[in-house]
Amino acid sequence: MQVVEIGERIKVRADFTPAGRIIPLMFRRGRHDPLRIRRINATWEERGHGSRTVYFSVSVENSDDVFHLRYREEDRTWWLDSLAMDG
Amino acid sequence: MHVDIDAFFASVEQIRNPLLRGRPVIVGSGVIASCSYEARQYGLRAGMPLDEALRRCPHAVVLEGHYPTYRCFAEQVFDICRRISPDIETHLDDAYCDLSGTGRIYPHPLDAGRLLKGLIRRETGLSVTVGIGSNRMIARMASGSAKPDGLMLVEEGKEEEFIANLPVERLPGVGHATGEVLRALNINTIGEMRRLSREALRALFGTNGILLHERCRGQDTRVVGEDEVPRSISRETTFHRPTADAREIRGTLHYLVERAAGAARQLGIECSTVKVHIRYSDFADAAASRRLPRATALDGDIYATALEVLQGLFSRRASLRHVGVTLSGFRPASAHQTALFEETHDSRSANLCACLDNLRRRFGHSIVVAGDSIALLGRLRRDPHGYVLRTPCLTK
Repeated sequence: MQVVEIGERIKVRADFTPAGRIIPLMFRRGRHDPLRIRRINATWEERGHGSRTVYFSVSVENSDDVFHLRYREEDRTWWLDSLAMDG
Repeated sequence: MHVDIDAFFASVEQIRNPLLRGRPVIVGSGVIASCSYEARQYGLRAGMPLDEALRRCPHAVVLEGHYPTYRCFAEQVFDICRRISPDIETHLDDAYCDLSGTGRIYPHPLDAGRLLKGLIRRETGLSVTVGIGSNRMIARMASGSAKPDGLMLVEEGKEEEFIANLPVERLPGVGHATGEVLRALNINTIGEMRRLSREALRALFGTNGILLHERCRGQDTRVVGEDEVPRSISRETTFHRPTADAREIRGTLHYLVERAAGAARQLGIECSTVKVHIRYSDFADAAASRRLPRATALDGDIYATALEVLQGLFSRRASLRHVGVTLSGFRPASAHQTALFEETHDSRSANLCACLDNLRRRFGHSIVVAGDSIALLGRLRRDPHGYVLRTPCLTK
């Protein structure tokens, strides 16, 4: 398994529920084709430091790769932190 | 009720990355901090050196780990525990929940345990083992017997019977040294310990012996509560490479003291003893402790003593691979008098620490780098939580 650190800002389409849940649906990295999220493997939050940061581990359609996304409530930005590939 | 997260760090890594599920996973650097149950089938255990682990299981995936992420998952678990019981006490990867008075909500304690396990699994993906008993010690021993992914209740009145045949080392308060003394007396099980009178145990082990006399009979009067005062607070790390660089070593010691002292201030306690532990590149260990002039939780005061201890310890012409600091002898922060003419220095230092704590609480530890820790800038990677150490160690 190989983990590639990326740290890029990305565009994400997500649902924000009244209960405060965030559900990313698809994302696009630069000029690449958008990737539709097949499954959210895990979600965890970091509190403190003034605002919430929410982390997601997601799998996308037509791929076994695992993407780690991050949403910063402070400035409402999405980031692609890393990518894990098998092999 | 004792709730223990199974193979915590490794489990979080397997949840974050489904590619790791079903594979032997090790989290650690130098030694195993945590390993998955797939890895344990090869005899791998926490504390085992990594080179030995990889000899036993060459295809294990080794990860250095990211402790702030584990803390996020732990807080999620603890939040779920608070829904079950209002009175909980949390630690790194486990918690105690007091179920007293919840009889109307959970007709049977096992109902609470099953509900909790299900909620944690559904909401976090983590597997926990739950032990339930009439006191926290029995609850913990029950969870220890039921791991992994287990649920065990020890009925009230059955505590002595439950623990009778367990090895003495399973009894809280019996460490390696105490266990050796007991085994030398041909006392191998907790039941056999009951042959010793209270006086005999006190003669052998001092105040701890009196506690052991109660505990080997299944008794534990400690109350479940948040922020229990620890016996010690430790922070230690292995260097990325063995080093004899005085600035790097002092900088690391200062940073570890900052973290430990900050944890003490957060708990509202002051320490009276500081211990420094070093390991040379040839794995020889050295440690020494010293009593502080007076109880304190201020970085500068503790670091001054720790540095003296380090300078006395570090006497060989060899590199260091590991350094650690342990604070102990705690008492509440308000319970001391300062001498009249030291008030100004004390209040200035206390105000400075309070300001730093406030800034770091709001913006992350890295917002301010102070004292000899500055020497680590450029040498160690930083994130908002502070320097990324090779093996951060958490409170015992």
